[in-house]
Amino acid sequence: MYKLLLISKYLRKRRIAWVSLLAVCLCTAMILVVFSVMGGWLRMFRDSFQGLSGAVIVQSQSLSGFPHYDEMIRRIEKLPTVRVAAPQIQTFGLINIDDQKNAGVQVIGLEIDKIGQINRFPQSLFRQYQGLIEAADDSKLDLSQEQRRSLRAQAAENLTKPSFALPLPAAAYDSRFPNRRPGTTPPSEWSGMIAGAGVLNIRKDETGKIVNRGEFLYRLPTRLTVINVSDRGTLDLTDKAERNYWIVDDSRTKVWQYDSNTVYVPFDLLQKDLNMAAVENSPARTTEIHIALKPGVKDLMAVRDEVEKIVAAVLEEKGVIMGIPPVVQTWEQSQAKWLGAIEKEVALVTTLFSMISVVSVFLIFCIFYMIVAEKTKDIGIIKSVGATSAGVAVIFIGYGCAIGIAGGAMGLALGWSVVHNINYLHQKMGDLLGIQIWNPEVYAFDTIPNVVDPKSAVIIVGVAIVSSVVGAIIPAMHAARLNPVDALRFE
Amino acid sequence: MHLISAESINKSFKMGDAVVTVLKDCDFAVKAGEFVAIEGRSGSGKSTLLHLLGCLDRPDAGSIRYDNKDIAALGDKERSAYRNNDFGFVFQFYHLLPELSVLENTLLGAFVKHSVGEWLRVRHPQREKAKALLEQFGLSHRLKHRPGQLSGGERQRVAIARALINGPKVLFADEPTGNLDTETGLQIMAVLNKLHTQGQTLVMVTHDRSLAKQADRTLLLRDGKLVSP
Repeated sequence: MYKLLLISKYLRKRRIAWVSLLAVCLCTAMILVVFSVMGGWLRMFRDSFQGLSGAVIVQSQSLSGFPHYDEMIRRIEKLPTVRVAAPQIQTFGLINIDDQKNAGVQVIGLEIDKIGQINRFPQSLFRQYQGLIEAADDSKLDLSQEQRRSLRAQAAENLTKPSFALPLPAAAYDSRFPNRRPGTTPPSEWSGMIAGAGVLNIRKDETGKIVNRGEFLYRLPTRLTVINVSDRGTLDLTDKAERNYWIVDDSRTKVWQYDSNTVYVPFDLLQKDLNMAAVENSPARTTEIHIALKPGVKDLMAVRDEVEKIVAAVLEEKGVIMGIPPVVQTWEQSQAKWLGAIEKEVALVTTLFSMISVVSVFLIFCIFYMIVAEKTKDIGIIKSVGATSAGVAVIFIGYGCAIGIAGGAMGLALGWSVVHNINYLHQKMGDLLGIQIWNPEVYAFDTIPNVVDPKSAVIIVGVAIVSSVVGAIIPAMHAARLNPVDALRFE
Repeated sequence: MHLISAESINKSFKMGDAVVTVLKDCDFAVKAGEFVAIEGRSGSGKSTLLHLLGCLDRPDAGSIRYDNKDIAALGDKERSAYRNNDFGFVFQFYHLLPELSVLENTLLGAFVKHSVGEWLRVRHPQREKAKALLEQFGLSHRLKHRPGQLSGGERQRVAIARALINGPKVLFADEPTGNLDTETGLQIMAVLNKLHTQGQTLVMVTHDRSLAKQADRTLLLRDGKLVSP
């Protein structure tokens, strides 16, 4: 009982120990913030890239792609672990938006009716999904519960059936070009294009409000120019294809490299424009096949191995000899370069900050040594009334533990507050000091991760408590060994 | 039958390069209920003998018998238990814990004796016992005060109450009036004498002959040994 009494008295009365408490608090908060941001960054990376890709990917190593993908898909979809597979073309192009913006973009041609079964791309669409959900959840809008339910139902349906369909009436498009030449494709029959939010300059202003988004986007005629690549891999700069599109939606994946310079168009149109469609002696080509697996399939490597066999078999059967055949990878392998670098950076930063936190152990050691020296006479008194040496040691170790618990808890609260409000704080720092630490171009996401992982928080606070105890051990042992007579005589 | 006895006690201290022997083949014994005063000049080893008898220190040689055991040879845990349950100490400079109140200082021995679980069961009777002791010493109006708010005499009375909380068989007093004025010293001696009349065994160390004369028996510590004056 005396140990508990003295620990609580010392914790409240010995102000010098509050310095230790503050040190533990700040170190805990610092590690928590670093771990949450860096760990969150890694999680966002993994989650986002996994969400924009199939679980297994067949990828051409050149822009000219590979043939007989339809036979490959037919066989791949027969595998018991595969749910669906779809082709995708990735290339580069030049975009002209209403003669107001010209930019180089990454162009992805996809079979949009299948993409919702492959990955989470449909969830990135504003008009067909995010906007409907935001409207349903917006309490400021004057909508009935039935209307909100209807919006959510519409969004859910669009997830399974996203499309490039034009959202406005035909007349809205045709009226943009009243003097078009006869024989040309009517504007209302142009295809739809989905553009990354950054391509359309959709962004948040200083107050966090989204700007440059509205129905006017869907009235912007857009011209996409791509360069054809032959099946031998040759490039003819004069053999380009231009096609007109209407913007039908914007995509916000939160992955900067996709949102800032990627556009999505129908697979068959892009294939045709790139001369990759089937012609007389040449089968149709694609640059990628994305494969989604059935729920519960965990061994991606095993599926990868089977798909690789199928790809090799099809090419061999069709007599296709490729200098560099397509590569079959899991999504993690395809992003290994990015993920590996980020994992190393997270480990390095966390290790460095943890090493800095070791300083707090030494600070606690010094402060406790001072406290034991100050309390020498008290130790003599406590022993004179019957406390054992072990009991005296427990007082100071318990004191260290109490500082760890109190400091860790305060650090947890402080760290959580910082992480939770980190984007606001970052914005304020930018406004006041002109400093932008989080650059989306470097870190690939436009917001700083702001979620504390509970498991990590428990571990960090646990380490804070252990560190405080470690700092207190030697002073506690010293206190325990004090001769009570010498302690009572201590001045 | 002696309650506590010491035989051929030797104790030396290192003072720089020199070794100073304060007790040399020293014998001592006290019966239950007896009041013994140990007199001697400053530095004669009186306090050292008290500390050895009360398990605060160990002799270099010799034995100290209490409860049919040589308590000098016991381990830290057993010796601590004797200090807690069987012996009480009153020091010249009171030695109260500054962060604790008068009541908490008085209960210190009880806090050491009981675990947290035990304390939850015994706290009320223990608090009543402490309050009764403090009332006996005229301190019932000072329960929440800190030692820094008390006079010298009041602090010494709190120290005596603390020493008595677990009902010790032997009370060791090391110059209990050494830091007090004459009048206050007399008050403290009155308290100790009253305890003695109630049957408390008392071993007191003093350099003041007039105080030593109040004991049943006085011994003089000279050349490391106890002799009759």
